[in-house]
Amino acid sequence: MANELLYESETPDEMTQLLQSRLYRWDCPSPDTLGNYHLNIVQLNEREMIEVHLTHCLLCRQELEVLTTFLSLETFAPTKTVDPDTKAPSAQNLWNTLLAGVSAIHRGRLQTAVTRGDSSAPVRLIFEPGDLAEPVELFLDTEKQLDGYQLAAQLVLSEQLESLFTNALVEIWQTESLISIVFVDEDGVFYCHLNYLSPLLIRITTQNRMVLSCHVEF
Amino acid sequence: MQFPFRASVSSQGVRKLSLNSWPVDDIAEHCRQHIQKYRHRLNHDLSYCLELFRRAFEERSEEAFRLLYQTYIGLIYHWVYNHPYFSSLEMPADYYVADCMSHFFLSVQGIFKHFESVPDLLKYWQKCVNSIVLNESRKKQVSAMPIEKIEKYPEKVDLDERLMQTAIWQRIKDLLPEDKDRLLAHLIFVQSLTPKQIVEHYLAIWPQTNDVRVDRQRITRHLSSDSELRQLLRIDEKQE
Repeated sequence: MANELLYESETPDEMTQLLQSRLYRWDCPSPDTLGNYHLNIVQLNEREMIEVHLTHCLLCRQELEVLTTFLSLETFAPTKTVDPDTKAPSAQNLWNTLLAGVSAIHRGRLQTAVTRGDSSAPVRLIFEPGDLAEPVELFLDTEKQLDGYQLAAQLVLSEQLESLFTNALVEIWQTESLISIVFVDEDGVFYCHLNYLSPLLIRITTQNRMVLSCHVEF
Repeated sequence: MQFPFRASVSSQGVRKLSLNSWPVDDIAEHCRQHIQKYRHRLNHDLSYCLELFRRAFEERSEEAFRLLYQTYIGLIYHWVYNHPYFSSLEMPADYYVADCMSHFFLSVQGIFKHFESVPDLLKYWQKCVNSIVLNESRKKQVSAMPIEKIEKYPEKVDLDERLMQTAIWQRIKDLLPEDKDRLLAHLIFVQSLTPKQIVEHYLAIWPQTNDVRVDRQRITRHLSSDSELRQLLRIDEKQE
């Protein structure tokens, strides 16, 4: 048998492949949980579970070593390779990437939501994220005010999805700049002041870090 | 939840009271100035930055959040570019920076009071950056594996899949009572390590790669013959 195995390919057998496909890192704590463990901000029972896991998981031990090295980077100090002053001066750098993300980078298989319409009429957008069993509707409306416009938005959610979207983070971008960061309230509503009407990019990040983004043209 | 950071900032209480009345734009401007002083090893005062964080997370000031974003985005780029795994990822830094910002803002909600200082907050933010980059790295490792089909990524599995994974692993443990076999099963099936990698780390148990292969073949044969495990993996259904 030993001789046969000497010539065995490194390609795993069918059973191994099947088990790997179902079990790959299934019991590993997430990178965030490992990070909280490193910073000592996990519950005691979770800490004990992670410590047991680390005794046999080489991959998690390796990730902890990476984290330790990474956290030793000095805060604010530029390195020889990248100077934050020259490489990334502002949030404007993100605009094109985020805009591309709406149509080109499928995050959770989102559908692109682009609408053109009368600024006085509510706009209805439908998201169909792959992770959710049902679509999410977003209604947007603008109201003229003395110093600009108020954008009012409401997510129409089933009871199951309400907790996911309550306190979701909403980034609102306009003309290549981040103009506001707000949170979705328990009714699925958020507001934002606009100085003028021009295309908006709205990026909603839920509590479980699912991202819905849309581009709205008025 | 246990936090290692101290409880409150009594020594800066007077400063905090006076900063309370400052316009948020001025707070942000002073924060940026003192970050520059910090970087140039000059005397600095990070209480302006702490106040900016406080306005955002305690008062939920939209403007404070926007200014935090603008003030720290350069630092977040710096961290992403300098993460040990960044060079192995496929997307540009902007893609990860956006997630690093939202992940931090969402994570700190509700626990802000536990942070005593700006360095504490930044250490936590740095941890969030690490989480985003490592998540991407894990996904990339999955896609690079020589396996025809990865059904789910662990970060995204639903409850049913998690229960099934638990059942599969429990059955494997039942079938492999020896600690050595269980360890090898985890190294191969859960961590997808090669015999060479296993020998590097467990030389005392498996001195040569062939020892790993022999044990691997023995346990996979044993597992393959178990009808309950085959049922859990739906092997026979797939073959039909």
